[in-house]
Amino acid sequence: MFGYVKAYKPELKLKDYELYKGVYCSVCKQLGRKYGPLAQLSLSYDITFLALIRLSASSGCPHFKASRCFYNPLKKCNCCEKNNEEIDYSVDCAVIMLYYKLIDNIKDSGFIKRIAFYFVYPFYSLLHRKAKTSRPQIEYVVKSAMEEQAEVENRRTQSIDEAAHPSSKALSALLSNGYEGDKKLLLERLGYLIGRWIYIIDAADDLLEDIKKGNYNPYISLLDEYNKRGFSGISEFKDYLTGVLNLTVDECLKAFELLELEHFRDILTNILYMGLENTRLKVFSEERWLKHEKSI
Amino acid sequence: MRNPYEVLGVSENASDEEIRRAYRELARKYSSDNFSGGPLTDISHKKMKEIDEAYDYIILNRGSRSGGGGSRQGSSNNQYTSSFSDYSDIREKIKSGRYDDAHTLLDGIPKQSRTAEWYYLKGSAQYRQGWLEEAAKNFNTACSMDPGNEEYRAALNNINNSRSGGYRTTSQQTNKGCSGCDICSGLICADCCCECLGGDLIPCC
Repeated sequence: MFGYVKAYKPELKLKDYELYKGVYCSVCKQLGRKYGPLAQLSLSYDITFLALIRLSASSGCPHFKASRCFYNPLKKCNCCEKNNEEIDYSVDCAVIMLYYKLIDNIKDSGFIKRIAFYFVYPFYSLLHRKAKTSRPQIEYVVKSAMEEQAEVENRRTQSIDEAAHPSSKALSALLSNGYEGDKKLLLERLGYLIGRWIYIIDAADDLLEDIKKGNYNPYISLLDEYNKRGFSGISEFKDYLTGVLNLTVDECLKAFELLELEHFRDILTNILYMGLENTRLKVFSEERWLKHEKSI
Repeated sequence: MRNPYEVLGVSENASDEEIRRAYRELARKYSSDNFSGGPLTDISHKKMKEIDEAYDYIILNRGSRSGGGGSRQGSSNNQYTSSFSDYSDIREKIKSGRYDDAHTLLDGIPKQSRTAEWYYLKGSAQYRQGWLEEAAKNFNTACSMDPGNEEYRAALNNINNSRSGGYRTTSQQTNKGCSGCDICSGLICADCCCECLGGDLIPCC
């Protein structure tokens, strides 16, 4: 499954696991219901996290009930009832973000992939139009973030803060939309830092591929610097990145602890305290890093 | 006022010791040390006040004042009093969340006349925006230019502490150790092993 922000299952209680799966299934179902199977491809743990936070900050109590899954009809899963506002919100966000991601991919990819993208593009364009009309605010937030991101990348900035800013700001707005006062402030901060964390871990994950393809990545020149130090360069680079990520998570936790949440606190605690760390370890322990090390 | 027991997250028939523990736990979470110079300072102060009141209320109404009243640390506002400087309006801008204005003002000051305070303020604005790496650099510069300043030092320490996951490790207490279940299952395993080899550890099963 896709996504960086997910729960660390071994430490999750069974009841929380069921709920977590329930939210995941609800998002999937609502995507299918509103936008059809093509949109269900945008399902990820990151969107589930968005739905979780939105649900847990809202005052209404979500009702779950068992229902069958289209893709796995033998198994019943717990799903949120139809027309849950927060699930619906997350689904619209997912479709809008998927559309812009697709456009972004068209720019970056090779000839054959480009043709494939143009083939599916009209369908997504239709879905996007529907989402756009129901949530013009989100459309504006995501669109301007993508434009800003392109601008920053064209400048080939070396500052991670600058590079991460547009997407962090977008997530900050998505999370805090509709709230006021302290809660808004806390959700903004939480969203910003989670967005920042996702950007950094994604940059780290794509780093070696980007070097091969010559794409932009804020860490390319820094990695070069560490490589010059010789044998221990890669692990020193990872230590440095760990520090950057830790700092982001820590700041995020401070905001999280001050938030007053109605539901799902244990799941969110699991995700933020252990899930993120687990993802980091996974990304850093992949074999490509070893291969890269050998090649030096 | 919210139900004080709810604020501390304890049940109404919790023992005094439990209440004290819950209070201490929360006080550590909201301690101003974790938030110094950050954008959430005000909210954490508010939270601290809320749990202080809840704790006082419970303890007074239970009549167990003899217990020493717990180890409440006064959440006195650590407002660092800075002597008058050109930067006071920039401080005001940062405090009220107008970071772009603060950056504009700061960038207008020529490079050669930038003091330690300039770097500190630049860092604070960035820190509050979430530009953590740039903020760390600027706090570092501020500290090396003026090593004696406590305000700069506190901001830098806060960031360095977070870099090694400080907040996460202090707030998350995992109970590791040997529980009753572990002992039982260990014994059963040992018994199985013994039986495989013809012996017996627990004769009854």
